[in-house]
Parts: sequence; structure tokens; C-alpha cells
Amino acid sequence: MDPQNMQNMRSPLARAIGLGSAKEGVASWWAQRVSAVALVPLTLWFAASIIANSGSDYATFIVWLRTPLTAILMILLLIALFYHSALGPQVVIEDYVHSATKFAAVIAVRLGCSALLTAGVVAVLRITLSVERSDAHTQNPATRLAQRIHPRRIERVLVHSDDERAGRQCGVR
Amino acid sequence: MPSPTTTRPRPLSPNVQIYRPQLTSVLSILNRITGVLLSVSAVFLVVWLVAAARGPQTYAPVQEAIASWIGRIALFGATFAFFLHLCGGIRHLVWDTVHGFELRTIYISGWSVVAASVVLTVAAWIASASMGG
Repeated sequence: MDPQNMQNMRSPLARAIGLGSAKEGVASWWAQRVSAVALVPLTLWFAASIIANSGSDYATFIVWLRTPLTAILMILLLIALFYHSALGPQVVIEDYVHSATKFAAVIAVRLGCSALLTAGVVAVLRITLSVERSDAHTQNPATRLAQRIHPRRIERVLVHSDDERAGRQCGVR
Repeated sequence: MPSPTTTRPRPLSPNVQIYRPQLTSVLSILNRITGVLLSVSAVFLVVWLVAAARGPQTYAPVQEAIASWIGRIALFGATFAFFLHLCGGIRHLVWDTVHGFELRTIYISGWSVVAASVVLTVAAWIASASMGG
């Protein structure tokens, strides 16, 4: 059935109540604006931080990313960014895609944004909440290599060998 | 006898190809194009964060890719797209308050968006270079 006939099949009551895009469309329109307002300071902070970290190596960069304020702002940026990135391309798709792929494309954008947001937030939390890795660059390469095998195991080995040496020195063995 | 209303393909609005490009229409479509490009860039933001979270071994090739010529060109393009979308977005937010719709104002704000985007992009890269990037 073509859209013209569907329009005519609406009852006068339905037309009077005015159910349609004017209701739900506004929520999406507002969400796009609110996320845009949030993104102005967040993206400017991010750009300034990246510029300030331009010459940094991995260790320095991680130290910056590990501070609570950075982690909080980074997660807020990811939330606002992927919220905005779900709504914006959806409007573009709805305007230019007029086939059966329209629905699939909108769903794909939505799911993609959810997946990317989750991956980004988990990555930030991993960096912020990890204890061992932040100290990795200060330790010697052998310890670092062993830590990658298992953080606890190297500790055990070190403690054990220390005990042995101490034991030998005291003449226990 | 053929009916006059049968299936002859008619041009659908808005058949934009008949219009001469103007600052207003070019900035309008650029805001959409840069928006889509920035959404794609957001994928790389997550790749970068995930690589950083996995450790220096995973981060190194990502860092190398960013430092490469293709990486730098892409990053420069993303920087310009970001500032154009940011300035264009602020212009749209002002319009949402029902201000700045006079033809003269629209052209002033339009050229301001272009100038600010160029200046901010160049300034960001000069600042980044001075920080050792």
C-alpha cells in the first residue's frame, strides 16, 4: 500500500489526536541538542588534553588517563559522543535511504554505538583500575615479563628466592 | 489510451542538483558529512583506548599508525571536521533559540564558522607540534 492511501485511511479522530512524528520526534530532537551541549566542553577538554600529551610516551599517557578526573571526563565524553553518534547518522539514514535497508541500517548504527560505548568505557576502567600496569615501566624488564605470565607468580618466586638466600645466610640449609 | 497519471518517473524533491551551491547549503551538507566522518573517527577513538588498555605491546602499532603519514593526514582531516562540526553545531544551537535568521546574519555566522574552523585547526596543530608531537 502506498503512503498516500495510508494517509487517507486514518480516521478523523486519529488525525485530531495528532499522533505522529510531532510527538516522539521532539524527544529525539531534544536528545540531539542536549548531547550537543554536553559535547562542547567535553570535546574541547579532550582536544586540549591530546594536544598537551602530544609528545608523551605510553607510560606518561597512561598516568594521565589513570587520574580519576580524566577517567570521569573520558567516560562522560564517550557516553555523550555515542549518544550523539547514534542519533545523528540515524537522521541522515532516514533522510537519504528509502529502501528496506533503512530499518536495518538504523538498527546497525544503534547497536554499533552501544557496542563501541561499552568497549570504550571498559577500556577506560581497565586503565584506571589496574594497579600493576601503572608501575610496569618503573620495574626491570625481567619482572615485567614475568608479570605478564602471572602477576602473583613472580611475587611468589621473588619471595621464595629471598627466603632461600636468607636461609643460606643463616645456615639453616 | 495511456492514463496521464501512470508510472512516469518524476523527479522527487529536493532535487538539489538544479541549485547553484551557496554558503548556506554547502555548510548545511558539510555539517552532516563531518558528523558522519566524526562518527567513523569515534570508532578509532575506541580502538585507541582499547589498545592503550591492553598494554604497551598493543599500543605501539597504534601509535605508529597515528604517527605515519596516512595517520597524520587522517588526523588532520578529523581535526578540521571536528572544528567545522563544532562551530556549525554551535551555530545550529543559536538558531534553535530562534536567533540569527536574517540573511545578512546567516552569511556572517556562516563565514565565521569557516574562519574559526580553519584558525582552530591550524592553532591545534601548531600547539601540538610545540608540545613535541
